[in-house]
Amino acid sequence: MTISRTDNTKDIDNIELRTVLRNLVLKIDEYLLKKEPYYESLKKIGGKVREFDEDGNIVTSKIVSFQIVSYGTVFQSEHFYRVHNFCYELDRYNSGHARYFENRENKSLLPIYDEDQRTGALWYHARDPKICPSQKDYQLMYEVNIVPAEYKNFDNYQECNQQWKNWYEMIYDLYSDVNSVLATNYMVKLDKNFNIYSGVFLTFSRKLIGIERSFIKDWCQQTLSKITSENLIPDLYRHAIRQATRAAISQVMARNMSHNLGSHVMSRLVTEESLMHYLSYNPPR
Amino acid sequence: MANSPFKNYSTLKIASNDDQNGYQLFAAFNSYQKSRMDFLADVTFGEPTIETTKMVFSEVMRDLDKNRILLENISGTSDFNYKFVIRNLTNCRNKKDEPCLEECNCCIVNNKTQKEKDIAVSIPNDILGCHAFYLILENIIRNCAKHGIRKDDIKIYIDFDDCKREDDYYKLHIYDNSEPEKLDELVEKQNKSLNRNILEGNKLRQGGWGLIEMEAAAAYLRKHPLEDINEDDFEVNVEDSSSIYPVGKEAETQSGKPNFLKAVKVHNYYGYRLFLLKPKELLIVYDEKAEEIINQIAPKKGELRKNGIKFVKIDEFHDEALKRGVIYSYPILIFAGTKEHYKDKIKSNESSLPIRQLVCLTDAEYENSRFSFNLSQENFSKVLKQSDVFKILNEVWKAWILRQFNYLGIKINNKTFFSVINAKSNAKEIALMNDGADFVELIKDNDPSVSFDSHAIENCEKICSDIEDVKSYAEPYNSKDYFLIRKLITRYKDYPERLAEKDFQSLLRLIECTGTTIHIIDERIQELAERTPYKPERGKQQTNNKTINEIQYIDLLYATHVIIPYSGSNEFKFLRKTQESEQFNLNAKDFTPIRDKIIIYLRSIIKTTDSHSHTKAKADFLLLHLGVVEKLISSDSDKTYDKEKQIKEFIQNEILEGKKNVDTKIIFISGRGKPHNLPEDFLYLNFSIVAQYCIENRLKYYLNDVVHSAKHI
Repeated sequence: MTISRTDNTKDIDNIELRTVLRNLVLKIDEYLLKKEPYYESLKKIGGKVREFDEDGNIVTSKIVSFQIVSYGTVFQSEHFYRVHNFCYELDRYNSGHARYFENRENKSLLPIYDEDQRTGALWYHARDPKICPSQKDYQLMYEVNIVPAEYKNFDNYQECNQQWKNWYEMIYDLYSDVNSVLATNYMVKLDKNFNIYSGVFLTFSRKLIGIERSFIKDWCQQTLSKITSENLIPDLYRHAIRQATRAAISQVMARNMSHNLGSHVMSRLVTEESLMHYLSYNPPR
Repeated sequence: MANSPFKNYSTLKIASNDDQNGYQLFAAFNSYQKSRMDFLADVTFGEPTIETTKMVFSEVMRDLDKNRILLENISGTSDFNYKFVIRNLTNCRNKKDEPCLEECNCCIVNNKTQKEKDIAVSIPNDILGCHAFYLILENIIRNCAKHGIRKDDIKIYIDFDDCKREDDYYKLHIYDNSEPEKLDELVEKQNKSLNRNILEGNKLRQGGWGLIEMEAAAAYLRKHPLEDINEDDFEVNVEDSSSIYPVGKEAETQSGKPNFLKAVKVHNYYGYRLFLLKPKELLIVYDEKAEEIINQIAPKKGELRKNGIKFVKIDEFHDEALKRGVIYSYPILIFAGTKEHYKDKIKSNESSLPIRQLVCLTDAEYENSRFSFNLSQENFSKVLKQSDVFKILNEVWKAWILRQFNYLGIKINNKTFFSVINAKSNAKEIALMNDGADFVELIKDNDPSVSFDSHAIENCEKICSDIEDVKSYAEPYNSKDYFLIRKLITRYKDYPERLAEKDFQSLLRLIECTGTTIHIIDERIQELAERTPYKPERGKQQTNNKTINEIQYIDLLYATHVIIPYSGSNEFKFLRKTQESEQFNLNAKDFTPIRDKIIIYLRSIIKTTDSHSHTKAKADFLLLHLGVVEKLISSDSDKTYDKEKQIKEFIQNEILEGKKNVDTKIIFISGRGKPHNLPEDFLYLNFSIVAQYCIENRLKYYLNDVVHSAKHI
């Protein structure tokens, strides 16, 4: 799996933003793989799939690619986002993926991490290694593969839109043998000149029917909305607060010259007598 | 002194400061204001990038003491009598677990004791960082005068000590004996104010602005973003006065996050605690191939780290961190490892790393260039095996100087390096020995020479009038002015004087500056250097009726290998004969008529790897004012550049002409805060820092240090 990386690393010295985006990816992990409500969503998807799948085939998704792009150069009068490449920290995502297995008896869902599962080897619960369910008790419901994501900022909508199209085409080209794809996106408008798009692209091992698409799309939209809105915006807010703090400190510092030097020292040097008091001074030799 | 205008401030008794007349006092005050304005501009734009090592008494406090007009009046009252007491507690024999009592005189640093006791600190952004420190002192003086009960014989103590829990910092206590009322309540109140949010209702809070100023200055001195002073990570623990961390983090050590500023009670006086960076001396980056050599000294690493020698394994060296703005502000780097690692990690991050590099490749021989030289594994081992920090650093610097001068073709014979001439023209020779320097009488020969002249400019004049001599170096100094020169170059001719081991590095840096050629293209410096005459002080040997020659700074600087082109003005008398093609007025409104001349000149001074010998005609460092470059770009109507990349394209295509084998380091200078259009991998220095070492505090030693510490913006 390759994901194009950008070489344009201008302005990635924004430490807070880097943290924001890192947290964002961690949240993807959390939402998709760990949170209870999403197990329920997945169960619904699985349930609906089974309900409508006359052949009894399960749906497996091969790849989820998550991307955020935005256009707009200015956020609160400052160049805000540029290109970030945080792939090196996401090594574990390169091989990490999650599978959801459903227990055939009690229908509980179990998220599993293990590369070996792909090949059918023994596998263990990601959280509790003591659990080693027998494969026959579980059936594969949903497989999610997180790949390193990118964030890009563009100066205008046309470039952003083109990037969006390029991303679709790239994924499509890579997985042209799949039977079904679903892509959906979510937009957040932070400022009149600044929008953030987040998108997810899934491929499926068989063609989805309408209601399946609808459920999966809803699930994706919920996920994207939570990830983008709840996590990104508070971090943007935190960033804005730091900028405001900086501006407040600058205000205080700006008065330093007049307060220390002006009112205490220079105010005593405004008459001819006061100047001559010093100018006439010659040190003894 | 019957006519002395100074009643309030008791001086540090530094002779050169005491000797200022009224005009010099005002010049010092104006210079202080100028630098303060530059500091205030810089503080609003970002964090400092460079660090330079400064001696607290003989440089930082000396420069403050020079500003008598400020110190006399800053208290705001006419009957506030005070003085500074600077103390180095790090090795005081009276110190046990508690700081020395205020009466302890063993640790005092003054004019007489500064040679042994003065303390080196790392100051961000040179003179601008000093102003962060001065700002704190000014506030303390004013508060002391305003709120203290006692007004007479006030002592403002500045105590430096090691910090047990943070190796990278000195702990400072600044306190005074003014006896404020209700001391404990005051300390608690001030600490609560320090913890208060700076923003209230999304705007600047009311009150406590002086504390914000001081805390922000303390953050600047630690190269932290100023907004960190509002973060929980740096809150003060109000209940526990000894704690240097926020509540709940007392167990932390080496977090790098002690409080920026805290109000404290010291010896029952009110004061503040803050932290200053310890000097960074040497950065050693190594990979697994060189690990065996490094492991030889594994037990000493902790001690070496406390003394500014840092070891970083290549895996910890993240490109991301470097591109994000992490800068390694060390004067010199040793890399030990493979060629590939050097190319990927070091070469590709040049603008974030030390300019001076010694490269010890484990799988190849390194090909020397102007600022990086091969160091064999054997020599690297030899360096590491030295018994203490000073010996390690001395070996490193010696290795650096010898390789550099060999590359530049500067002759060093086995015993001697250069001569020092006093007013009677008796030459002394300085020899590089293994553990210091000896002074030996020498008959001066006719080879290109280096001289430091006390009270005399004859050698400068000689160099300026001989255009064929492109190597010789002459720098006048006044013995009263410079602690550094006085320490390193003795005038005692009867006894060979052994230099203290800890000062050997300074001597080698002095030697280095004589082999560094700096070209400056800046209209403000050009004008000032042409207009300002240098008149050496009358020395003791000179009779009162002998005329003392003057020399314009532009010519004096030329003799020290700091080259500024003439503007073509006839207003002043200059010594050098230069071609008309090398003269252009950088203050001209319209650059169109002189554009080609400037570009041809700039091209001619670029040094490449195939012509790397030492000469004034070629620049090791080219300091370019960003405004001049912008004018050159805009004056060419034929060419259009990409708006984002115009500076880079102009430099690469017009000045460097696409050459790859360039030895010259190009540094942009600007006084407008952090320029937004500067290419990210280009080096940058604040104008104020450069200008002051050209004219006001002219000494090539400092200018050389500053250009070597330049980093990307």
